[in-house]
Amino acid sequence: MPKRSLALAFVFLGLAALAAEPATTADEGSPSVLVQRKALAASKRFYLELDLSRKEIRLCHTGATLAVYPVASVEVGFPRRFFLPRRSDDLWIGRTWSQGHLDPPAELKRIRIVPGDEATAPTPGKAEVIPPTLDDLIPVPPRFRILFDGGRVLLVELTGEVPGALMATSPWKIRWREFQEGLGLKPSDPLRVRLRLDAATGAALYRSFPADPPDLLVVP
Amino acid sequence: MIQGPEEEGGLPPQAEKKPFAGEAGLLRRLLRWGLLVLLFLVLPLTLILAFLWISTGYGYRHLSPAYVEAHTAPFEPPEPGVGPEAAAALARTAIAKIRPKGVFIVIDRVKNLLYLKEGDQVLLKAVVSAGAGSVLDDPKTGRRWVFDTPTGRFFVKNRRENPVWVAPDWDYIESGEPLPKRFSDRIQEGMLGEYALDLGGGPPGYMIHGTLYTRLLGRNVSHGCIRVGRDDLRVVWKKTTIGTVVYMY
Repeated sequence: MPKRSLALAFVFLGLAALAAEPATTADEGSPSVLVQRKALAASKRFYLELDLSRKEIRLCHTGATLAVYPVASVEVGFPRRFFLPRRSDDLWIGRTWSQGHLDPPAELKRIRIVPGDEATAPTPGKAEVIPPTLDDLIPVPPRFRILFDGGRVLLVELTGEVPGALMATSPWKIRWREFQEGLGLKPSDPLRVRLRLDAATGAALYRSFPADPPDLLVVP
Repeated sequence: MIQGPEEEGGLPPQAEKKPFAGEAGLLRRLLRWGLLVLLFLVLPLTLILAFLWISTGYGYRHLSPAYVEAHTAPFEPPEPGVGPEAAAALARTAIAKIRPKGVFIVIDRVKNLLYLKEGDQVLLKAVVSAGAGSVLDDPKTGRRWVFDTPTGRFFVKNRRENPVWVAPDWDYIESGEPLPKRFSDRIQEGMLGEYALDLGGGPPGYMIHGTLYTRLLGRNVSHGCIRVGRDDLRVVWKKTTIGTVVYMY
């Protein structure tokens, strides 16, 4: 009897410990989403989640949410010629998109330290020298893409003024490229999802984008 | 033979009446052709190109519930015979095992912010200083240092009170001073504040520690470590233990 009650007590304690664990977004979702999230969490790499109902992108690692980037709008894009769309029948929601690369890639403009020169030292002793932040050293384009395997693309457009350095891109050049893609002169994205983000949020996502290409889980 | 007035002048009678009749006719003809070209070639071509430009490219539409439903992938069992509910329960248990237990630290090295978290709850948000990302070359030996804060998952490996700092070579090279001959000359007290949490990450390793340069909190000024203000560091010290998970991105 005492053994049985001891076992029961352990089971009870175990359940209590589980209940005490704070609920997180990692516990939510359909069975399909949870199964894929488990695989991503087990990878021990950074991964992203695009939550369509909450309208946010989450940066995660081993089941923990590290950063949340609110999204203003999510749209699906399709190449079209003479107003005739070529829609994709890809079942892209509730799936994991693999290996996301930034286009254009983020580039840190590194400062070369000159020995003995106060102005280039990371920690200047003089109060009047204000060192830059990574916001100043990583320029952000107002529009960028995250390219995944299989031609799936997240197009991120920033609205408002970008804090810190801005990468110069010509809107005409982008439009010309889209025109060529629509005409079929250049290969178009098989699936493109356009996200509009507040400039500060989008810039933060761009600057913090993991160097090791992350996977993306699209949560319906 | 008597010459008439027409022959005397040397010019035909029509030319006398309209001296530039040939040029005017040419101009008229050119105008007429120009108008025709404009009407039947340039204008239609412009309209066709404008139509092409507007109608070709990419179209976008918002995701309706019907679209989301139609483009959502069906459930695929992780193993044959496992139903959706059982798979979900197994996945939840597995995620709970993988994710950090209790308090963990998240560091945004771009925004220079440190979060002390438990689940999705933020216990502390502190302004810190992360790596400057600058490069130092030793002109004598050719050695190179890149002062980045690393990214990924780390663990608190050691906790030290009143830590001392053993200044590495780069500190002397950076300030243009000769390297000390004795090890004891490298030891500096008070530079790391009251506490230091060692995170490992290759020699000499990265730390979360205090700083004398509190005016520079919020800027990327460190050599890779995370500098925290005194009061925030005290909270971090109290809430963490050896083994606490630290994420840096």
